[in-house]
Amino acid sequence: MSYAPSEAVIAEYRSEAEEILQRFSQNLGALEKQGFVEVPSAEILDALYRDMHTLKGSSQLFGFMEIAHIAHAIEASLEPIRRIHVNLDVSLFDALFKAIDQIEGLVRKIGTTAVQGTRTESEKEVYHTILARLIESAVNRFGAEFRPDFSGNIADLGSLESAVSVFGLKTGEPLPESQKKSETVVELKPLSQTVAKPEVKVVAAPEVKVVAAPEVKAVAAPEFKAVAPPDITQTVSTKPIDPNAGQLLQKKAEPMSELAKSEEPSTLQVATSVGQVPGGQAQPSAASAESSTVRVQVSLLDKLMNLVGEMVLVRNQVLQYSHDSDDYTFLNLSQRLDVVTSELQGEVMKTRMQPIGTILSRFQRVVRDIAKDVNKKIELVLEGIETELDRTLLEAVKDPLTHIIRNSCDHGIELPADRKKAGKPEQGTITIRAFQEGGQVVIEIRDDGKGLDSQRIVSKAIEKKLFSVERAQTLTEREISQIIFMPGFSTAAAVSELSGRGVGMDVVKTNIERVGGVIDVTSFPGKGMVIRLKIPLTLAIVPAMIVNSNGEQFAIPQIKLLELVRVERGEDIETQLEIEYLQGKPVFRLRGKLLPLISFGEVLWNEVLDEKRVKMTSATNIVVLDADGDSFGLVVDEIKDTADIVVKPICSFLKSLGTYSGATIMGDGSVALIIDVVGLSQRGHVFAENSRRAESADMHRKVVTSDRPIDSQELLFFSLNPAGVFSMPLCLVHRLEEFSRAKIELSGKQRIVRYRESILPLISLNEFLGFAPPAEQKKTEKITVVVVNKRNRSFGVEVNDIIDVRNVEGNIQEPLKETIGILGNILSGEEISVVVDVLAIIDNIIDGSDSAGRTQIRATNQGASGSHSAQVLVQGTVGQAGKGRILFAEDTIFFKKQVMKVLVAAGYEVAHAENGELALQMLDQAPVGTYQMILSDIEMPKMGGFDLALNVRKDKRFEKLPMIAITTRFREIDQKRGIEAGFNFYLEKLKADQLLETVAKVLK
Amino acid sequence: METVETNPGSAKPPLSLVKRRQYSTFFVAGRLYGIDVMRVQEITPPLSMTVVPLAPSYIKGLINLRGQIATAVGLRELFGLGDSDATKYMNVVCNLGGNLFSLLIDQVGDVMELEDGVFESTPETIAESVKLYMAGIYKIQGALLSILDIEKIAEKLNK
Repeated sequence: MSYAPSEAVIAEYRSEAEEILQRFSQNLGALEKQGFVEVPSAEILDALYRDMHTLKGSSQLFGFMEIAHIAHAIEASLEPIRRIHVNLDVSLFDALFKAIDQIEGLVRKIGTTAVQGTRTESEKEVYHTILARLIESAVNRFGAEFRPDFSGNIADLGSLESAVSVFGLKTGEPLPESQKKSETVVELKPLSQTVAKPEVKVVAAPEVKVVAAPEVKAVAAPEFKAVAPPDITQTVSTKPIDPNAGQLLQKKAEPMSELAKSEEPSTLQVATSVGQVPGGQAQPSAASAESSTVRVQVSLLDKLMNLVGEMVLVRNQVLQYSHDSDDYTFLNLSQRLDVVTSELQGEVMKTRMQPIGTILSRFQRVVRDIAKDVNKKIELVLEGIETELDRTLLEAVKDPLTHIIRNSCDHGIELPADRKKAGKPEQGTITIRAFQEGGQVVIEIRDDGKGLDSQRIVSKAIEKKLFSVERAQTLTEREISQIIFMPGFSTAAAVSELSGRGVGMDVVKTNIERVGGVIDVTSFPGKGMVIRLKIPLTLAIVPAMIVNSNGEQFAIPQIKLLELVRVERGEDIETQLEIEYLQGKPVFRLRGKLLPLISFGEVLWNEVLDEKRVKMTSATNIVVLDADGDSFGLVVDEIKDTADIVVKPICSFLKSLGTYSGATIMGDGSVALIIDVVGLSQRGHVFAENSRRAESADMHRKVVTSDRPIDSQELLFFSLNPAGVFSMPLCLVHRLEEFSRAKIELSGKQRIVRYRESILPLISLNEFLGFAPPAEQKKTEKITVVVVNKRNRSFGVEVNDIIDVRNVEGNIQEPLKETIGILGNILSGEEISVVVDVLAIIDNIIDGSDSAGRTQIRATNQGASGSHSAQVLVQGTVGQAGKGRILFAEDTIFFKKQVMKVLVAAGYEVAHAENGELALQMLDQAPVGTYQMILSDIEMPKMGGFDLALNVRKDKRFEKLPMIAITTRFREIDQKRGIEAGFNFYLEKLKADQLLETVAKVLK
Repeated sequence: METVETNPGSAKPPLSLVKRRQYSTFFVAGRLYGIDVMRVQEITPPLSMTVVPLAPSYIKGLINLRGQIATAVGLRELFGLGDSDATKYMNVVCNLGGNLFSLLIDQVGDVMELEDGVFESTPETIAESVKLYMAGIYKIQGALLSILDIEKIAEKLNK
């Protein structure tokens, strides 16, 4: 007769076993915390005992004898403690924990059938060692009198194996052999057949009789019977060894169902007669608890969840529809539907929720074990374990959490001695705090260890070639803390069991992000560090921000949303916030920090539908988003609303576009795409990988330039062969690079170097300016190169050394003698620096005569001040056409000089204004007709070019006055905007030819 | 089930094995196409469509099909036969590996029951852009019916 439990029953057994094990570990941990001095709490002991008892019983029922044996051994080793209230000791705890692990392993191996998995030799070893250890620890502590209880029960179980092993132990036979011997026998003989071997029992029996502790057996025996499968009943019949249990066992021949009925009374009977009931009590209490809960398949819950999702959508649609309806009854009903649906949604969500404690509490074990392994003292404090989280998410964060905690134990918390030295308590503390915040659950892992060792991280990162040395020096603390999330990174000096294999935090990050979460690290060197995980409450329904771009709706998950900014073009120009452009890239100053912007329209629609967007000049909506810890702003047409959206998958090839993570159905029944924020930022090239920090630093500097009072500029100082300091306007500098001399190649006579998949021509300033090499020129390994962009190309300007970047107030003084490539001199502090005109040099080199000719012109204008006549040497391209007076608004000194130089050289009179406001004033105050044309920059303080144009055009007098915009803000969209504002032409800065041509055309 | 031997051109066993099959037919750019009727979930009039920016031109958008999201594929665009009409089209909805696809066609034709005897594999001369998606040709009275292999379409999409 074979009893084959169904899959469902086995599954139930498994989950029960897992529950028990978890509770057991928890209780054990609690017990251990009480310390070994006090007499352990009877309540906890009872609970422990009861759990193991239950586990033993059900394991036997399903034939998982190994689990039953270990459970039994645990039970037995706890028995004396419980009974005589002795103190606990460490070795017992270790044995117990190990045993629990072993059971956990075994339970995990159970598939969907009752067939016991095959075991490897090593596992068998472990199994036996654990049994032996448990027995030993009990015997050692409490004396031999406790052994029989154990062996006696083993005999009850009918297991030859364990009986022999116990026997072997006692007779002092070497353990392994006897076990192996017995192993083979048992493996072949299922429970029911061992009955036929009475001699086994004979072996065990004598032991039992000698040292039996009556009560113990009395408890154990009936319990066993209660859970025994039918086929075991025959086995049991051969068990008169145990006199006390004997009377109860008479009934065993009955079929299972009857057994079950009789179980209760018989247990109770024994219990009363023996006067000790713990085992018996466990059963009824468990039964009553079960009646209030039902086990439901997770898949069923998931299906329910999906259906509720659908229902929410229908509800939304009904509500939308009801807004247009006058039917009172219908309105009423739809209201009711709304309420009920919301409630239903809430409740169904709850079914998926589990307290986070279910996974957190297991970390007590993890920390305990690791602490022991690495000889540290660590306490784990759990807070907010009742915080609930969707169970799928709970599963998803389990592994990352384990990893983080292992890391904290291994890397974070120092050895006790070190801690003492640092003035901290010897015992380190790791706190895991879980709480809800908005629609998210925050899990905070805080340790009071040494924090991140930034130096070590950086040097390791350099060693692993994740960064160049130069880059590494510019890293901020925060950036450094992000390094630990890079793939393949680990600072552990040696690979230990715990960490150092280089897989780790990056996996943690990926896992967290996969479920829509965010991870963040803050390190307090010497004091500890905090890792924060932000996890959405549930995956199926997410709160999102609905935005509008180009008439289409998009949903942005709120977890990625930092804030909303509305930039209005208000009256108050002083405080007006504006979107600025750097190298054609829009940025926004958000509380003093530069926020790179990407335009939805630009990324998604390729600006095809500019017109619509250009009209929206009155205000700009910026959605500030978080992509992997970097924030950026997304410019959208309209911010609509927040909504709970049901995430629907989209086909994989749409997902592979990278910008969408799914789709959802909106209240009106239309489909909206859900934006993948990280993908979008990549698509928008907000953060060019690796170079992004340097670039953002660049950007920062540049913006600062335009922010300064008018007569100051930032200069890059460098050295050349002659003594003295040279400089160039920083706004021209794209990047600073170093190249090794070996990398330099020759293309004809031009020296070039490969740079970012293109070719960078090198220009040596020393050579161009005709500086002789100093007497003993040291040929260094590397050359320092300033990368300058001109005419959409990059040029490498070779200098000797970079000295500094400084903000210099004052004007560039024209040199006495015009030299190609020298802009003038400037006084910086005590030094006089020669300002190099890099653009002229580049011009000169690319297309020799034309621009060279122009730069050679001696212009007599004296720089900064307003309108003045200029003595002009007419030359070159412009010819002698009627000269005019031009009002030129420009805030950047460098550009002002460049442009004025070109214009004055071509024979125009130029009046300069520092910003739009001044220009407007000058225009207003001068008699009409003074200026034949306005030339204006776009980005200026106080009043920008667009506003200047609008204001000029407002004035009837100047309706027809030609206006040319000259700017770096040279995108199609801006051009359109410029033209709409009233500019006749829109030109790119530093294109002298184009400028002269246009000016000539306008003033003809 | 009998195999048909009088079908020299047929190198495609899946279709030639079954004697009679039903095809849902439709017109795209004036040509007649058919899909195995079993693969068609439903045919609907135009539904409001959400454009997917950045997607290839033949992805016309996403459709809400009673709470399920279907990806609309313009067959004209896919075959390189110009652009689908913005309003005059029909959706032929198919379920492909759990994903719903809506093929945008110009006009719906009849459901035809056809014998394998009149089936032929796609002639070599057909333009590669369309041949890519074809399973073969039926010679019917007065017309040639091109049978589409939606698996191939799905394959192309997922590439």
